[in-house]
Amino acid sequence: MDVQLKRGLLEILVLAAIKNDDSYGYKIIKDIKPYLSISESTLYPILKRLEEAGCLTVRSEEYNGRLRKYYSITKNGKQRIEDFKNEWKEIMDIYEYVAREEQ
Amino acid sequence: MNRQEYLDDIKEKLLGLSEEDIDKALEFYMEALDDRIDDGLTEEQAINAVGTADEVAEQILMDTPLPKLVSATVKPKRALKAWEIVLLILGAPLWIPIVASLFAVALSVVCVLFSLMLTVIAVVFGSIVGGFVAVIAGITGLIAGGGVAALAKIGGGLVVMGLGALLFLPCKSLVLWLFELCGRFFKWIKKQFVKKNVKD
Repeated sequence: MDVQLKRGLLEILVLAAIKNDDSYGYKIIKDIKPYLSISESTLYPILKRLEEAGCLTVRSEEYNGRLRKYYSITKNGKQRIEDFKNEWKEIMDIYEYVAREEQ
Repeated sequence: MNRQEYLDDIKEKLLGLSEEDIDKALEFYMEALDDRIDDGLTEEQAINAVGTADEVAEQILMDTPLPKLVSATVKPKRALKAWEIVLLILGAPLWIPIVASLFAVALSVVCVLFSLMLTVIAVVFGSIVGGFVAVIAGITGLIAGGGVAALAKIGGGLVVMGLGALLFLPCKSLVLWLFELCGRFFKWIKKQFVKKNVKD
């Protein structure tokens, strides 16, 4: 897959992974694995970028005697998902046209 | 390599970034290792799954804005010794011009790319506007009784305008391509800094 496209899709996938419930790094990776397989070294810059863009917030919580960072989606992040959905509706229309049966 | 060595390795490769950035990254990777170990992996397997220290550092550095990256790379990783400072000062007549000329080369590459873009835009814009003006002038000339010369002016103006219109699309893609080239050039500079840092 095109690198630029993958980068954009990963951001949306991460937001989608936290849109219903707050989540943490390893769980996000496991949740999006069926769609795109990534490791923590790829996830870290994405989370950082999303945080800087105001799409998510981070808080630390104790788990098993150590700290774990939980990520929650913000209004901005939800808007990003909506924008993505609208944009892809257009792309799907184009796809239908491109992939239509030859006559 | 065990957990601590791995984290130290990452820390060393990120030196020069702000302490806060480094601490945040280390906390994240510590948690990542612990979560995978809790999931049943050994330390070694967890490290492999998370990514090598080089991968981790490269991903973080490539995502760091260029100015921050430059200052992080240029900043010495330990206090300078006295003789090093002396050398640095004595060597100033040598290294200042070198750094300045490297900077000038990068700047001129960008200037050349932008002036090419500007030229292409000016050619298209100029031929369309020029052609239009020539047609108007020709029509006025014709009304004023200019005869053949005025007709030729109208014809010439139409030809130039047509050329401008024909050139519009190829020129547009040329400008976009030049712009992309500019972006690639910046990425390349960034890569030079990251490579140096990761290898060290």
